[in-house]
Amino acid sequence: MNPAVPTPKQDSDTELVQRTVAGDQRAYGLLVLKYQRRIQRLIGRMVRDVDLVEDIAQETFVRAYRALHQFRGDAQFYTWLYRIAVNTAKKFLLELKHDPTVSENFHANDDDDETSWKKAEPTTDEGPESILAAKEIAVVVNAAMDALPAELRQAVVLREIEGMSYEEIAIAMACPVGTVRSRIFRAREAISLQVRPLLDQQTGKRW
Amino acid sequence: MDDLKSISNEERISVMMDGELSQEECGRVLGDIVADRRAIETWHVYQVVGDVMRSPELAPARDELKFLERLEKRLAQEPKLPQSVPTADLNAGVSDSAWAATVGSAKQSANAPVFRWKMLVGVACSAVVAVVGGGLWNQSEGARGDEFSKTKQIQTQAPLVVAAETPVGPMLRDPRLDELMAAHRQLGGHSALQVPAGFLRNATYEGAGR
Repeated sequence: MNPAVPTPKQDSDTELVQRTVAGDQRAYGLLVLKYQRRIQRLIGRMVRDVDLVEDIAQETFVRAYRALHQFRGDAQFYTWLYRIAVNTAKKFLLELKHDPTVSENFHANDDDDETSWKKAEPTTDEGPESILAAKEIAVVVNAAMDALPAELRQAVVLREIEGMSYEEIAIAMACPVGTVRSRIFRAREAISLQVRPLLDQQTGKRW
Repeated sequence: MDDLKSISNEERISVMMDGELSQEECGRVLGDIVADRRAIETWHVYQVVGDVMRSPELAPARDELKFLERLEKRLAQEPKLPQSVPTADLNAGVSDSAWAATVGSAKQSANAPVFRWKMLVGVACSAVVAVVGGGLWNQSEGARGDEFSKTKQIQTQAPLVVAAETPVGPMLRDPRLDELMAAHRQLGGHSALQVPAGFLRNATYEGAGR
C-alpha cells in the first residue's frame, strides 16, 4: 500500500513574486494590496508628512519591483520588503535633512519598526476625516468579530492572529480540515460584508 | 485541498491567502484572481480584515486602490524584469532554448553558486586538511615514539618491585620514583595547577630546653 504523501503547500507570496518576474504586473498589485498598510505604517513611524509617507511607500514598491528578480525566497517577502522600505525612507530623510517635517524619533532609533510602540507625539499629519474613517473600520471589524458564532470566531482568530495552519486548527477544534476551511471563509465573508461599504466610501466608488 | 473545484472563487481566495494550496492550485487560483477585478477587490478586503484583526492601527485611512493605480502607472514605465526565477507552470509555453536564452541573459548576482568557485573552495579546503592533518600525524607519531622509548628506558633501568601485599593484590613500587618523590617532597600534596612559591614564609625555632 502506498501511504498518501502530503502535497507541499505553496506560499502565495512566492507564487506572486514568480508571476511578477514572469511579466504579470497584476500579480505585483496583489502583493502591494497585501503589504501597503504595513509598509506605510512603518514609514509613518519615521516621517511626519502623510504625503511624504505615501511617496516613500510608492518609491519602496517601485524599488522592490526593480529588484524582484533578485528575491530568492530565502527570507519572507515582507522581511525583504521591510529592508527596502527602511533604506528608501532613510535616503529620503537624508535628502530632507533640515526639513522640519522629519521625525526626530527616526534619527534617535534606527531599530524602530512598525511593531514598536508609538512615541508620545503622533507621527503623521493625517486629516481628521481619514483618522475617523480608519477608526470606523477598526470598530466595524471588531463588532463584526463579536457578532460571529463562536466556532467561526475561534477558527478565524486561530488563523489570523495565532497564525495556525488548517491542520493545527482542526486538531485544536476537533473537527475536519474542510470544516476549518469553511469556517474561516464564512467568518471572513461576514466581516468583509460590513467592511466593504466603508472602503467604498473612501473611494467614492470601487472600480 | 481535495474538493477545491466544488467551492466558490471567494473561498478559493481565502484558502490561498492562508497558504493551504499546492503550488499548482495556487498558481491556478492566482491566475483567476489577477484576471478578475472583483476577485482583486475580495483579496483586498480579506487582507484588510486580517490586518485590522491583528492590529487596529492597520485600518486603511486612505483609498488604497488609488495608491495602487498610481503605482501601476509608474510600473508601466519600468523596463521588463529579467527572469531569474524559473517556474515550470508559468513558462510551460516557452521552449527550452528560449528559456535558456532568457536565463542566460539575466545578470548573475555576485553570490550566485558558480561551479568554478565551488571547485576552487573544495581544492583549497582539501589542501588545508592535508597540511594540518599531516602535521598532526607527525606530531602524534613523534610524541608516541618518545613516550614509548622513555617507558622502555624506565622499564630497563628500574624494574618494579613488590613493596607490600594488600587485600586487593600486590602493591608495586618503583624505587627510582620513590627517590624522585623524596627529593621533591615540597611538591607533594599540592595541586598540579598551583606550585608553591619558592620563598620562606615563616620559621620557628624550637629550643632544646622546651
